[in-house]
Amino acid sequence: MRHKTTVAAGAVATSALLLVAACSGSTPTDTTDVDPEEVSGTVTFWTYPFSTIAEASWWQPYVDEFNEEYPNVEVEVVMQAWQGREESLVTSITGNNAPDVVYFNPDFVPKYADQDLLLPIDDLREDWDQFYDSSLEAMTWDGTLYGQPMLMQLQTSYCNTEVLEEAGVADCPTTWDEFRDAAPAIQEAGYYATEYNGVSTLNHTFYVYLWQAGGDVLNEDMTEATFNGPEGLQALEFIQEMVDNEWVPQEPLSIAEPFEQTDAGQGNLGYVMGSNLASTRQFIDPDVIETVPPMSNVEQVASGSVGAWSIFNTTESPEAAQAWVRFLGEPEFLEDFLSEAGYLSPRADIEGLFADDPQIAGGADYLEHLRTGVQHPNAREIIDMIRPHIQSVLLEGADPQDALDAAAAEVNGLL
Amino acid sequence: MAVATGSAPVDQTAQDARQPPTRKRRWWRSKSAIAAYIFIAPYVVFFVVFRILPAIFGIGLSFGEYSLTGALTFVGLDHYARLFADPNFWGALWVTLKYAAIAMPMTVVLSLAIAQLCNRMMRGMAFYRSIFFLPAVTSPVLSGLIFVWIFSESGPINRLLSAVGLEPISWLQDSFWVLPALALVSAWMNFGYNMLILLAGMLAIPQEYYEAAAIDGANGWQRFWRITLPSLRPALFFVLVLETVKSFQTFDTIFVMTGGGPVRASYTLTFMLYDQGFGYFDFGYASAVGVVLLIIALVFSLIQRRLVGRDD
Repeated sequence: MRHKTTVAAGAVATSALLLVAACSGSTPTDTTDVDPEEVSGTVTFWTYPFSTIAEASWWQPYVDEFNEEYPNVEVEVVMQAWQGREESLVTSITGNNAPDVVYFNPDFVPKYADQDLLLPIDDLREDWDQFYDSSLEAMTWDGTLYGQPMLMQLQTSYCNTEVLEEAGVADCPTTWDEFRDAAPAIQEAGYYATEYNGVSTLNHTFYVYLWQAGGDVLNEDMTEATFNGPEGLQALEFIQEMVDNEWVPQEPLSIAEPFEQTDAGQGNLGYVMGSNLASTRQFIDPDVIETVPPMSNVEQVASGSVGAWSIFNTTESPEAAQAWVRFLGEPEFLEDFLSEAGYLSPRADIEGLFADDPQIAGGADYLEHLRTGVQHPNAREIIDMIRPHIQSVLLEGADPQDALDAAAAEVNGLL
Repeated sequence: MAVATGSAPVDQTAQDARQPPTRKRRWWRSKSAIAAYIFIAPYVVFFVVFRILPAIFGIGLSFGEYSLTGALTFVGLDHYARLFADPNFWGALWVTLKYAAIAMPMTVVLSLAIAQLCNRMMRGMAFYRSIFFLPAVTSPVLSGLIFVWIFSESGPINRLLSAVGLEPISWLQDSFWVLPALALVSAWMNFGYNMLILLAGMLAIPQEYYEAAAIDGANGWQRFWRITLPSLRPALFFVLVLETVKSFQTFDTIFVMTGGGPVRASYTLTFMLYDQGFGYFDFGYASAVGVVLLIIALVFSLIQRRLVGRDD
């Protein structure tokens, strides 16, 4: 009987999180003119390992600096792990123990804002005009800003010059047609032309090809799927062409392998459409990496992400949390943080960060082409619905249009 | 002798008449029982607080709509109606049943075979038993990552197949092979624990049974089939129930190795529960999935009890 009961407990594991309910709400206040001495409270700050910034102690000098201006605010830095990130958040929220300030990416914002959990920060600072519009748009949901951008990450396109040389390909491709021309030669030389990851988020895979084809995932008012239109079909057929011609390795189509075990991590790809350069260069010799502009077809689009600080409206110290977030958006702090972590700046007034690293610095030229995903509370569910249908085309030979239509029917049912 | 026998009832009656009647103390009020209660009380308290109550709450939650802000509204059977109309649910249910049908017998047969191998006096047997138990204490996530490599195109299994002239198999990319491959990982991780239970059962079988069977001319297979297996029924029933429940609940390895793919071929009910709860914040719906999973596991356990454990 004990084991049967164990099933009950395990099967409804999520319910354990839900015993404690009710979150108090905080109303947004304009704190830009408040006397720092009068601001008090504790701010629980959830951060994550950013490249070499992996210890909570890295933040302490900045907390000290902040406390010089805000002596009555206690900032509690909690270094969280990326793994199980959302589970930790959900558990803390349902346990009435949510952090005050947390790191969010664009797809988190609509989801949590839709649950009425985030504090609007439109009035947080007066220098929003210094932030790139694309970074602010990524953290906006339903006309309200919910996150102060702290970094921008562009998935850099690059070629492996050694592979190109062996294949006799003169120029790294930057368009679909150039890629089609180069791929057979790269394959002939014993390498893969590129990689398609069939298990990761579509924000970095199918959606990018869809956007490059001139299409979009949903219509403008987000009430209907549009990815099954001609542009979506063109994108999927392009990916299918890569798979059928064995221009891409087969395993990443359905298996998530550690990066170092993939052909990308082992330097067996001629072209990579989107890569985190900082991670890639740990395994690939930077001297053989030639960065190029984002791939284009009808449109030139690069995938990437924006990182931002959001404030939960459950905070008991909204003024203190806002003051801390405002501090984290100051150019002086961002310069230190970004140069250490290797990300691009969301602020236009920070320049020359990577003067000695042209591969990363070059990414800043293409931030206008950055697309981060679908701004919808059900964005993840939509991805989970489309992905198996794309796999059915690539792995089982399903008809691309039929697969897209089937996925669209599921998504429309959700919308 | 006859006198003594005849006088005994008379003496007993007289003794009963002298002493006041005493009520026999119930066993559950005995000192040893009370001591037992004290020892098991902490476990029972934790079990009730962290298992039973959340389970009951989860069942209740399946009839409600819960948001992260704490708002809870009663929706009756809406989640169940939606669930039974959801093709993804039926797909996940079918995958779950298929997986259990492969994983459970595979694990039990392997456990039984290893237990039988370990049930002999041999130099260094304790060492072998410890080695066989090692996978049971290995992290499922770590095991999953290792098996991703083992099942890969250039992994040892496909190299072995190539060496004997067979075509390599896309273990984790083919909808047909993915469940057997995952079941193999499950069998590898779980057989050590089951082996210990079955081995304990085997060691408790009296040697006289085997000696008598040997005198009657029974061979090794007959001794296993006619003596070991029937005598193991209580332990086997326990292992069967345990493995059935584990098969229905498997999540970690699937999450790490396939993410539910390819094409939802390994998308089980626990994966759906996780997605709905943690991914989409649809806790009521996720709880409904959990309740269905509970009922299925309960039904299968009862069937097993009827078939295997009815004499216990």
